[in-house]
Amino acid sequence: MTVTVEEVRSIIEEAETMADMETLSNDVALTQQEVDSLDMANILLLIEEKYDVKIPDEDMNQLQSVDGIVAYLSGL
Amino acid sequence: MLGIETIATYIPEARKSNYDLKEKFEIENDFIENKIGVKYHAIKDKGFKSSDMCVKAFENLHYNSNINLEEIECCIVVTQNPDLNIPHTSAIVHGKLGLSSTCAAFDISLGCSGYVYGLSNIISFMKNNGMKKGLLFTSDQYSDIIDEDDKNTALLFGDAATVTLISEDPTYIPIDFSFGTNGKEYKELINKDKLYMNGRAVFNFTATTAPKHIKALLEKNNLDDTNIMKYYLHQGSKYIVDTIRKRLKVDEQKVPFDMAEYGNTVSSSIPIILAKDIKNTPKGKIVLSAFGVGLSWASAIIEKIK
Repeated sequence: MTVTVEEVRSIIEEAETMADMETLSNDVALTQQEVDSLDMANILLLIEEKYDVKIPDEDMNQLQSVDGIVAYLSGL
Repeated sequence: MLGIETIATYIPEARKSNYDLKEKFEIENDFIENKIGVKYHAIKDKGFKSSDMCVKAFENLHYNSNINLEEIECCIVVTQNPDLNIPHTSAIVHGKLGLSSTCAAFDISLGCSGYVYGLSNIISFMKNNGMKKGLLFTSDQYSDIIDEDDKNTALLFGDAATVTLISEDPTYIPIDFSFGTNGKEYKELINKDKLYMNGRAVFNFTATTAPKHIKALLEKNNLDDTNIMKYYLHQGSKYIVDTIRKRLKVDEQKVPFDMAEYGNTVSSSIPIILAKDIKNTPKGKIVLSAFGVGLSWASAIIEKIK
């Protein structure tokens, strides 16, 4: 699967989190950038719907940052 | 036609503050107020049981409507926190209220979807048996089963009970109901020794199921958003109410949010809002939609006719 950083950032924006998209770092955990646990659940749901995938709870630690999400989805 | 004549509620006065849990769960005011949406939980008196809260709700109904107990032909209690496993809580409520020996009484074991299920059940049951007045109770005291160290549940739930008077002099009449269940996921929200909720699984289920279910019910009845005055959604959390509203693409003013001062009251959440709005809203069609433990969901269209 081919997934870009831009696509993932667009999903985070769609989730309407408190994160500042202009300063959001791709390699830092989202939860350290004003994205809380409810936002994370919403982001993962939007990803599941957009890419028609199921992300198991046990894989969630691989999807903590934008780069992590891109790497995980690219490996599917 | 049978429908909802009036509704009374019992929300205990005692409160527990989520602001006192900020340090314990490492949360900020914004999370409490704009995400969970619960500032305070209503907490019942220690030793108070489900039936006691039903009686309190009935006292409030009786105070406002002067009910003749002899006329009540049906008493249903929706609860998953019964006083005892045996007998059913509705029998205990029946005894405490002194209802007639010809009054039918039974429980419905459902959580968040319970009021919508209960409404359909009591109206169908009364209609099929020629009954004219009945009481539909909702009552749950999650304060007895909460794990105080579990962030997923300790911030959410409040205790409450409601009673809905069903009669042939209705304020709201039913238009249509729709139900659903995904029993394969029952472990995602479960009470063994203490309540456990997989927050992500329940969020995913609700965010994906509820909007589709509501849209399908409207389409089945040849209705759309322009025909609907209000959407009374189960008050799971502010985040989930907001998520469903955004996915439905309906105006924020049409979707009341009301749990900030007392918490998620499970099957009582929808009748609490209905009771608040019963005198203040114009005639029109209303969508009810509830979702949760089971996993179970139910939606209805009702119409305010006076």
